[in-house]
Amino acid sequence: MDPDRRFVLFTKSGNNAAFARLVRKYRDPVLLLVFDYLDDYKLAGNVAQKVFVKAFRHIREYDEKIGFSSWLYQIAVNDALEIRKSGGPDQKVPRVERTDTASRQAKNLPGRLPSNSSRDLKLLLNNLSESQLSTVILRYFHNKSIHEIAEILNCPENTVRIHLKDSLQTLSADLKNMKDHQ
Amino acid sequence: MSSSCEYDIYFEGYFHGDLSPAEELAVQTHLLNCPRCRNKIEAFYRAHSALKEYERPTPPAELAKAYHKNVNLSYGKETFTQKLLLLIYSLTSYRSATFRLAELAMLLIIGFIVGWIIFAPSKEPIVISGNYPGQYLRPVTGVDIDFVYYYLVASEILLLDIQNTGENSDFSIDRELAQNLLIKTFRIHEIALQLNNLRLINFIGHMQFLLPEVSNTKPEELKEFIDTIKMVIKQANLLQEVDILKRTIKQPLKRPGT
Repeated sequence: MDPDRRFVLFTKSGNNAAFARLVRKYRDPVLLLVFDYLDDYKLAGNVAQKVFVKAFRHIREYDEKIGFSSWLYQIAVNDALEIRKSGGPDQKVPRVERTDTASRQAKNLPGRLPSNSSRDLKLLLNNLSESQLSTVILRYFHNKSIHEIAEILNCPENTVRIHLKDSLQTLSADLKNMKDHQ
Repeated sequence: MSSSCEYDIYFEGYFHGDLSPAEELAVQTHLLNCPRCRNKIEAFYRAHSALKEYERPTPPAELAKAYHKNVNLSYGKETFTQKLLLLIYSLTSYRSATFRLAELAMLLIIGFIVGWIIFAPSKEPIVISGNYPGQYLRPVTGVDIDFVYYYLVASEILLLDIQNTGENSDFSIDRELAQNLLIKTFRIHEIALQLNNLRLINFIGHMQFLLPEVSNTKPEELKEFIDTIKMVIKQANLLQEVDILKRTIKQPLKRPGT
């Protein structure tokens, strides 16, 4: 049996230690996933924490038709999109000062800075629709397969392919425009 | 969308290499014939490469630490029993490649030990001296001893017959009995060798000389040899020998009701 499912069964029977294992396994991927939507680690940390609380409370509703990770990602994507829609945090990639590692740590800034091209790309991603953004994030930043993305977004696999195609089309056009302007 | 572009939803999967061979071939064939899609796939590939090269900023160390701490506190407390149950489960379900290899090695060792216990040769020395080189001789059993005993009894009867046959009297030698004994002599000789019983070996040696003469010679012709045979029996003390062997080899099997 898949270890995740075994831990879910343990959790359903009231074993909190089993859920702790699942949390330890997925806490970082979920944090990064939420960050990919919100571009703010502090906010992403709070949302990810709520994702786990929600998962723990609703674990009995998880029917195991899809993998546990897909179910957890589903909650995380929905929560992150909800925050994004509510327009709470700034949607743009935060401006990051170019300082040395020590001062970055002191100011609680990201440990490793993204390259300029990565920051530009992140800005361009804001032009995508919610579905397109989700497929791109899951596919490229979390290495999920088409099948897993379809499970997480609860849609047919061909719809995922269409979203990816549209995303690449939009991004390629935007990248070309950006290059022309430079 | 025109029919010539229905393949563009597979371009992304084509970059990732997760199309089926049939789909991949269809895309490749289509690209050869469609310049519009060739341009499109080049543009898609630029976006795909840019996404592949994307570097996400790493979370600040303090924030990550606080997050890990808080997320662990967001649900109920773990108890020692729960941890123990999980530990037992983890130990029993752990299946790394090294562990599987060790498992296989253990199975082979156990299989070898069990096989050795079942099929290992007996510690008793195997007697390899047979009637021909390399002959396998099974260990002598109680049945073999009985076989020898009854052979000796039958031999005694035959020897007495020969001894009591007079020159003028009718021949009462049981040739059939002699033939039966001759057939059994080969096996008796093997058993004698295994028992390393020199007296029995010597006796069988004499019987191997007598029995073909008695069983294969016609009664009329046998009259001419009978004195010679009697002389051999007398000189070799075969009647005494067979009596001694009978007593030493084994007591006869007790029949039920006797």
